[in-house]
Amino acid sequence: MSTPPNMDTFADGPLDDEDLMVLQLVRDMLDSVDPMPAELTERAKFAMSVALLHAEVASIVGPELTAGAVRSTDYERANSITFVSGGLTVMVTVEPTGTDTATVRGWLTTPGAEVELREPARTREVIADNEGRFLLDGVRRGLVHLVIRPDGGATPVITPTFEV
Amino acid sequence: MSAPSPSDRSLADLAAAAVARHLEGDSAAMPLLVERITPLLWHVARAQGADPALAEDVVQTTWLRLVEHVENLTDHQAVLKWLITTAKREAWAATHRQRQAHSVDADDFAHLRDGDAGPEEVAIEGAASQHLWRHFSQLSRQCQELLRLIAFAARPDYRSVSEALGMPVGSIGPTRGRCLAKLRLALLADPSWEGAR
Repeated sequence: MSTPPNMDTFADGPLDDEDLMVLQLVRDMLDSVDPMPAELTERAKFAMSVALLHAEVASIVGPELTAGAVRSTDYERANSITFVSGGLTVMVTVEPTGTDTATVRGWLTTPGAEVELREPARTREVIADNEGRFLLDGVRRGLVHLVIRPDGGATPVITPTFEV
Repeated sequence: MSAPSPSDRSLADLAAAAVARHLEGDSAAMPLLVERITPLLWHVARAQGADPALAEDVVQTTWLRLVEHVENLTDHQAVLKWLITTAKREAWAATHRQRQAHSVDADDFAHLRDGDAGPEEVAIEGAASQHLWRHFSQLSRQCQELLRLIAFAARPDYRSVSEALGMPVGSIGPTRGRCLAKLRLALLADPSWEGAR
């Protein structure tokens, strides 16, 4: 463009591809200048789940205590995590079954409880057996959490996010 | 030219569908919505001058407000606008409270810039981003806010965004609008821009 366009005419012009490209560059620039904290989305999702369920949040009692999500490195993924809330204890063990999937085995102190696994894009439910055991296979690797509804309509319990 | 827009899928449509699915009992609907719209809400809060810690609180509070009010929101198509307006109001209230708590006796508008790092304070990767930041930061505060948000929205949402910001509806989309026009003209007048991008 040799002569700069008139401001008013230009402002009233339709959006073109160049505009959309500049907006994309603005987005890239802001991601660099003012990046959103990486864990914010997970934290917001978690806070929202707790509010929607009127749930109690279980605490992690082992093997590691971390604020926010429990993340481990590829070398030392948490194989086993224990959560407690009131009278309920849940222990989960994660066994990788491939690069993308894992099996989550669990045991909890309220047999017959409904266990809901919340993956980023889907949820599913199993019922713990008479001894409190439950199994979830084909779980996609990533951050998940469990919602446990003890038999008999007690307050649901939600675990902090943990990595599978 | 590569496809520039992050998504042409309207966030307003996405929010409307998610709220409807949520009310039908789909527990995966809201988490997905949070994933898609949280970056936009982050920039709503930051553009209001909230510092990063405060902006995080604002985003989380905004989502909790949605949980509280979701059953009263009858116009699902307006949920996106509602979220932006709520985040903006929360951010304003939070920065105001913070200011009072610190009893800073400053110019009433000075706090609005507290969250903005000056170009000299930020390390920006890439020549294009550096050039762009220089021109962007010279725009009016209102223009910066508008461009910040529409950069994180989809093209069909420009109208919702401008309405939520209380800007005249005609100011963006389907026309370019003055803010984007100013930035484009500044870039056109900058001989080093073509080489930088």
